[in-house]
Amino acid sequence: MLCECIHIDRKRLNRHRFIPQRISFHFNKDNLKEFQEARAKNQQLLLSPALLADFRYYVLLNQYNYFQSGLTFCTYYQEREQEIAIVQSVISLEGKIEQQIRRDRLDNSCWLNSIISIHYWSLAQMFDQLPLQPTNYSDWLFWGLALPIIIAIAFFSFQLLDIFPPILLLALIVVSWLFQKCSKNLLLPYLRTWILRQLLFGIFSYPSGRRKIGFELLSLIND
Amino acid sequence: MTARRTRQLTAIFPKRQERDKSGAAALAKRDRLQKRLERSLNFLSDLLGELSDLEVNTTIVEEIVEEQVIPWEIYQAIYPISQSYLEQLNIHPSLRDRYLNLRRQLELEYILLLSNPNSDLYNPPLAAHLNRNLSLLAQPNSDWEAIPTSLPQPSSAENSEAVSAVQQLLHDYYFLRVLRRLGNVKMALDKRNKYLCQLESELSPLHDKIIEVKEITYAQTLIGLDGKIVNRYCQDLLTHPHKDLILAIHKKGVRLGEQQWRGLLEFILNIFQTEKRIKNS
Repeated sequence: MLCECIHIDRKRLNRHRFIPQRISFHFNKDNLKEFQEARAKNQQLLLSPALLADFRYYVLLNQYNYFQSGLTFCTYYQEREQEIAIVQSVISLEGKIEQQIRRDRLDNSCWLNSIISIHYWSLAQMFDQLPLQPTNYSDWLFWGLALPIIIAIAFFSFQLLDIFPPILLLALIVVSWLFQKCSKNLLLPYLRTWILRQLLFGIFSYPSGRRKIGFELLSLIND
Repeated sequence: MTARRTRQLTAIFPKRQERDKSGAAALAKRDRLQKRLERSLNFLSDLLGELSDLEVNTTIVEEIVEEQVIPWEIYQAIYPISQSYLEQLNIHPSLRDRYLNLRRQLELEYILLLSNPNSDLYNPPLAAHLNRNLSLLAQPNSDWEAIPTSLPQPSSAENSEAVSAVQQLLHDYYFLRVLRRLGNVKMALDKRNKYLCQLESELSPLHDKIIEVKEITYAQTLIGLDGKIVNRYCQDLLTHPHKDLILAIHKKGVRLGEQQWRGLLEFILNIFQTEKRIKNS
């Protein structure tokens, strides 16, 4: 798996909790070649679900945490026993991009060019997978909420009042449609805020599996 | 029987108290979190209002290190800035005005925050009292240094009142944003200062030992919202042996960095669903 060399470096907040601090790519002679081949073949660098959830969480937390300098991506290269940071990009939401390159690698321009290309290619691949996939399920979700109520009303009117004029049926449809629309407009913002809050600081904030659920819920109600 | 009962009660009672306490703590925590989220949303709208340029910098460094910004340190570094302090630190004369500007802006932003109802520091009586200084502070070349400072002193460890005042200041969301911005400017100024001082020491025959400049930003590109593009290059780049390589890397950084930044912005806007509101407005 290519994405194995992508790490999310974390900082320990307390005994159980870590927050992502930066993303690092760890290359060596062999996996650099694999990356170059994948890039040449236009393959996709698929992130594992846990890694993607952590990456999204990092992006979200970074914009919230106003004292972090920006999203940091650093590329390391293994040379003999040592890993050396070659290039680093810091991207902040307010539109500041810093790229740093290690001076002593400038002499080997061909090699440096190739590693920078892979650095940016990996970044682009990660950003391609960042957006939440639109699902358009939110309509169904609220129809699902409306349905039991409609059935209850229908049951009540059929069984107890024993009425079944077509006009009632029409009224039911209109009422349920309205209910569905209203609940969507009224509930959705609360639901979104709740999920966001849980994602940032609550039950979905840790570990990766829960973050994944949080983002899936968000994309479920996204439209 | 009664003794057992009291024992039971005392066993239950502290638990209940603890539960109440933890309940209250949880509530307070929830309020705090709610506030933080609201601020996060605030931050977003502020940010969108402030978006002006996309800035891409390419820097060649000796070693890539993790930079951690600590608000307290920035405050402590900017607070004492004055003409004599800069002289004492041997700051290059051409940069002194810009350092002084940082201090002036810190003072100005603080007074403005006192009259900002969204800020924790909101204090209308004090703001009204200090408002007369605003016009002086707003002008870079005025005699603003003569105004007694209203900012709490950061280094007086024995004065707990001042310490807590600084703590309060450093917990204010708006003040932290100001501090971060000024901190970035100061970091750039510090680098420039080091570079200029090194140049001078090279020129003077007395110094045979050359201080190594750790990092130089060779190229900078600013892309304005109006489509205006400004490229700035460090003078040294023209004679640099790897000029073409650095330029090529910078160009790549601008092109790809812009794309990625756009992706980042879209993701955040999508998550906070502000996109529609912005389009509507």
